[in-house]
Amino acid sequence: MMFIVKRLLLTIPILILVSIMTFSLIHMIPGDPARVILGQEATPEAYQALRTELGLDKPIVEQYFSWMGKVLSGDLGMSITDHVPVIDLISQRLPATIELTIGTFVFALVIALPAGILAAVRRNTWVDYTSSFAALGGMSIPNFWLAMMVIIYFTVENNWLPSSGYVPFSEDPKANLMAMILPCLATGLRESAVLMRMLRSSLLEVINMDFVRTAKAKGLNEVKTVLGHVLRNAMIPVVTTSGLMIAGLLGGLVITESIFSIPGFGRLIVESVFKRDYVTVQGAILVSALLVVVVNLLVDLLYAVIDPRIKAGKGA
Amino acid sequence: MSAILEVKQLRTRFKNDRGKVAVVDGVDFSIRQGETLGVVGESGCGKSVTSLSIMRLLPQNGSSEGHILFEGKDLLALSEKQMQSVRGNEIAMIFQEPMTSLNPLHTVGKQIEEAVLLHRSVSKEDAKKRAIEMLKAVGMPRPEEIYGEFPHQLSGGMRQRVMIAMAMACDPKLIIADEPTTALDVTIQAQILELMQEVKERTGTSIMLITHDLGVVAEMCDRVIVMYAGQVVEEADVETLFEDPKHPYTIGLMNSIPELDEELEYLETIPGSVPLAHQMPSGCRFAPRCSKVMPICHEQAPELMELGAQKCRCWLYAKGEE
Amino acid sequence: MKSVLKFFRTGLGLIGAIIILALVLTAALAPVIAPYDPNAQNYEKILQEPNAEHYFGTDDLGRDIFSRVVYGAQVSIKAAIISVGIAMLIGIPIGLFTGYYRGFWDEWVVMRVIDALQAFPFLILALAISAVLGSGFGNAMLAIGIGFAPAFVRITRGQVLTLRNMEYVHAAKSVGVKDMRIIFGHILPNAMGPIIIQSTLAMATGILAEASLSYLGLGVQPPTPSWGSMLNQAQTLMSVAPYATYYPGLAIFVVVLGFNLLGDGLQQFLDPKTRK
Repeated sequence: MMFIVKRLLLTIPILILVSIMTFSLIHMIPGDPARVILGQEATPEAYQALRTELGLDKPIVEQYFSWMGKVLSGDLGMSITDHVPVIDLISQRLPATIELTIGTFVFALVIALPAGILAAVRRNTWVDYTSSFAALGGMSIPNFWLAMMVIIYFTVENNWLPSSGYVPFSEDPKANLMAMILPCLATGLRESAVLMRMLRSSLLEVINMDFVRTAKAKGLNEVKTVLGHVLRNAMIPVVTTSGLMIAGLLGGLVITESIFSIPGFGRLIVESVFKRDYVTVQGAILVSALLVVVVNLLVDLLYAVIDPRIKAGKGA
Repeated sequence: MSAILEVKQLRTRFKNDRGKVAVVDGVDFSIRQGETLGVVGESGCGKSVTSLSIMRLLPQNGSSEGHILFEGKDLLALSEKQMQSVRGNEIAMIFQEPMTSLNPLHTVGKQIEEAVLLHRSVSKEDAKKRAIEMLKAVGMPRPEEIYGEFPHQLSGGMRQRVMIAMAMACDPKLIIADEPTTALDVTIQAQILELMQEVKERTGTSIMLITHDLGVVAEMCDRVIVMYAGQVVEEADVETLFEDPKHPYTIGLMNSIPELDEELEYLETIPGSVPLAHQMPSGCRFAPRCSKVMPICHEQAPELMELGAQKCRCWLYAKGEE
Repeated sequence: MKSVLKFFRTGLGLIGAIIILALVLTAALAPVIAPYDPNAQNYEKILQEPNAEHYFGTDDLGRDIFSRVVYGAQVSIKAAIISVGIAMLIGIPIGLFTGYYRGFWDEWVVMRVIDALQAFPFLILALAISAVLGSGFGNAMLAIGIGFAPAFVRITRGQVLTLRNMEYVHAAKSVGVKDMRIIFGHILPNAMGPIIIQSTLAMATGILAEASLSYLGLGVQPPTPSWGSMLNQAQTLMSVAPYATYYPGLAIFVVVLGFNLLGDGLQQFLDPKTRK
């Protein structure tokens, strides 16, 4: 319990700072934000209206608190270009992104788990070198280029899978899943490479521990030893870092969604950036940071479930 | 009494950057049914490697030659799969570090149960019953509760009891205990030794007890082998060894134990240290540290010679025959 | 067989270094290597497949893709150096001072700000910053540099925390050496190993990030040839001229791999624990 309370308390300053940083974003616009957003041709009335809407005529501290008050009640402001609440825009776009995130993670795990285990168990052999080198390669491929190559091969040349045409899962599950395969592949390769490297080094550390020898001395075979005793211990640091992976993944999805025309959260950010809809940009990055903080919190709590030593308040 | 384990010309080598290095070099000994054999020596003399060789649990870069006959079958000739049905079932092992030898993420009960489920065709409930029974047998208070506890909730002595329970779970014919009490407090040490003695008397299992502590040997063992630099230098039953040690190294070891009833001016130690495996002296391996060294010792390596019921690897006792 | 394996392991870092050297040479000698002006449009030779005249083919404006890829090396190497340079300039001093002095500022201001900064997905943060500051190479570099800075603070600070307790630091303190001299003269040089590894790996990510921003249209502006913006333009032609997407992406991949290989190699060299 102490661990959970402590962990929750630690989140508060992070959330406050995240909100300050997000708030400051609009004020980083060089010159007068309202002028930059509207352009030079805007009427004085429209200009004044936007200034009032953004609260730019009040002192900055007051602006922050009134913005923060709205945020806490779920109001992220109105989109400058679409004139709808930003929160609605975001909640429309999130499901596709969440689906992509889960799909990508599953894809990454399916590759990384066996590859990482094999590389660690057969370490310093060709299996290890090949998979470690492949992982380094996977980390080096630009996401968006991989997405294009995948589209050229699977869609343009062979027409096996669609490269666009996202439909919500609730409308047409089959079409939805078909449209998700390529995006998950294009984003998941890099994530699987990162995951595989982490898993390998974590496994190597655990594999030489005393209790692993005990397990073998009991008569367990290699497979049972690795799956029953090594893997779970090795997963502890991996789970922790895979929480951090979520941040990289959300960033990567910005590009994936743009290429595969998936109306997700990342694409919303890109669209808003080009439409100079800074209120939506602001709301969206706040939500993205919030997602990262929440996922990391959940991961740390999960950590306490995996490792019984945490609950007792002992050890790290 | 027949021998349950016979080790013949065991040679275990490790590969490193410089090539292959023999850490155990031509070791012979046997353990009889129901006997406790002590294996004594300084750290680095190859006693732990010998035990890991028997279990075939050497690190990847280690390999053994020779014969390890367990009830007549050569363990070194078994397939890995056959060996798995020996480990934990016919031969069990207890390790030195109770703090790190148990999996921190599994309950104590599950870890004992695992061995039972692996080697006996029993139901989950029966395995659980067996695990609790074992915990009771090793003197655990509240065995039903301990069954569901994690290693970090137990003290070092308790964890070593769990290790013993785990080792005994399948009624092995031989238990190899590698310094089982070294990491424990002195009072706990005595309790654990007593427990092992009790287990042995009750089940009739043989024990190979590896230790550097001659006090433990005197208390526990029937017979003793003394190892030095990867070889057996002396073998005797425990009374003979303490009354009439032959090898200068054994004598040195004996003299380095402080005795309570003696007023010692100083504690004797053996000068120098165990030679490294890749730079063994050409003659007797103990010669550079030996107080009774003779010219022949530097030239030719002595064999393990039989002196009545005792065996000794030293030129001092070959004189008469020449 | 064994020696082949051994070379394979130790030689990868070397291969990485060679790739980076090749990148630097290509960037420096671009005018000599490139057969055409990278921005010269030739409407008679639009969308030609790779051939003897145009090794990588031509794009929809008839520009020689090979020449553009060669010149793109200049942007890429600038991106690596400038973005990581900015991150180091911000991150290293902060890491040094917070790690050395500890206390309230370290614990409750700097480290919390870093936690908060790292909560923003890196690419989204860079996207937002360059959106606010306006698109362009310089702003993209600033955005990426700010995104990288927390990692440099952490790694420097971690090093300082161990080094500040070393004998020679205590010795220097006891004879009255000034803090500044201890920090920059004794601690920083000894902390450089991990910082160099981090900067090599960050350069890999920096090149990727610059390419991503340029691909989205926020980094390098046309007509300057950069691999990211070339891919942006090639994307619309994917079904007619897939070859136009091959080479810029391949160039990014090889160069990023080079930095990753070197970083990995350095890591093993400086810290043999990681692999042995």
